[in-house]
Amino acid sequence: MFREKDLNEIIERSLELKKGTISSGNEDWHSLWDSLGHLSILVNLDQALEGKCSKITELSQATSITAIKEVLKANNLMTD
Amino acid sequence: MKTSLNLRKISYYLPNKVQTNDQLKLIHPDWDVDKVQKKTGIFQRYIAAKDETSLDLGFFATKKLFKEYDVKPGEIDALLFVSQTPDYALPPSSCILQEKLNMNNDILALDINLGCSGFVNSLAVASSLLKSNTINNCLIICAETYSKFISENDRTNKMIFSDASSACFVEKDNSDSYIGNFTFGCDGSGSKELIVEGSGSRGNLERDKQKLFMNGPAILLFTLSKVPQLLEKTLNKNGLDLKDIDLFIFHQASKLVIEMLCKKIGIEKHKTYSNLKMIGNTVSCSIPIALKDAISEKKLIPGYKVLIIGFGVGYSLGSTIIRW
Repeated sequence: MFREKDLNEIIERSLELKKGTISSGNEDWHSLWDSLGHLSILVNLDQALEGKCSKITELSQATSITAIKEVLKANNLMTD
Repeated sequence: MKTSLNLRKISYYLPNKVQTNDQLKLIHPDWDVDKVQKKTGIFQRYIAAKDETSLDLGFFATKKLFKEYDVKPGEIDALLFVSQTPDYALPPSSCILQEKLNMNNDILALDINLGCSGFVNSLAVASSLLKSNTINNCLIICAETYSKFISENDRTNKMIFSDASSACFVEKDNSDSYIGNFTFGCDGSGSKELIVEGSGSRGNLERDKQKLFMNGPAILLFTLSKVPQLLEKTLNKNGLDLKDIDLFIFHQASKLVIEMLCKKIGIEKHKTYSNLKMIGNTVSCSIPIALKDAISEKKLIPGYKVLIIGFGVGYSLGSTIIRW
């Protein structure tokens, strides 16, 4: 099952952050999450979850880690 | 039995004004142009002059086609004009072009308001009319001037959309060429995701307030979800497998979208074609322009089976397979 660690890795890869940036608590990277960054996150997320994300339209508006987690959990694609 | 149809006669026209990413860097030093370029794969776009309209662009592409292939205006049976940026709400641009291009008065002239799926879906109309022997040939003109609805400060749309026109002559012949079965898709729930609010009768706005809005993430999810399904349906409806297709031409949305679709569907890179870098996303013109460029570069040759698929605004989709 997809976990928070997996989501963080996808976001780091999509936004071209160094590994561990998100778990370090440093929040300077947030500005990199622009519309293009969001597209990359959606592409990589869909790939990691074997095409299940593209059917979840709410993900287009989920522009934070918390929001994505909530949507994935609501769709039984992620555990705590 | 398949009716022999071909659409080898294609010409296109690009406005004189070119806007490069380097120029945009100077105008908008706060934009990370290189980062956007990396994702879109687009280095420059064409912009219609202030007094240059879709009808003008369509006219120029058609004149090029007449000259390039020695097509005579008097031999045309039907004219389909595809655009989302017509000169008028009424009359139809196709009727104006009939007169401007000296075509006969007994032709069928239709305007089709579709964007990225416009060429494929118009080809379906043309193909159907040809196969039913209603007409013997059809001219499909696609012309777009999205730039007129893009705000100077709209970083996303300004770096993607390009103005252009194409003219494609579809005709019967005695060769092995054919246009296969079509598949379509439509989901009006996405109508607000790519829209120019106030541009029609509903909530009409002053002209300079009519701006293109695009919800990129929503459109991306729609594309990821629906395009692979439609492509598979097209293959099935034509009794073919993925491996039977020599070339895939997607609507030239962006590098990110085309690469993502290829990866998801399992298409090898050498089997796709893209001319985004120097042309940009030309909406309904993107597929005919890509076909023309692929022919010029000898990446599309007679005998090839090419799958074309358009998708976008509406949401609307269309696909078919052509034996070139």
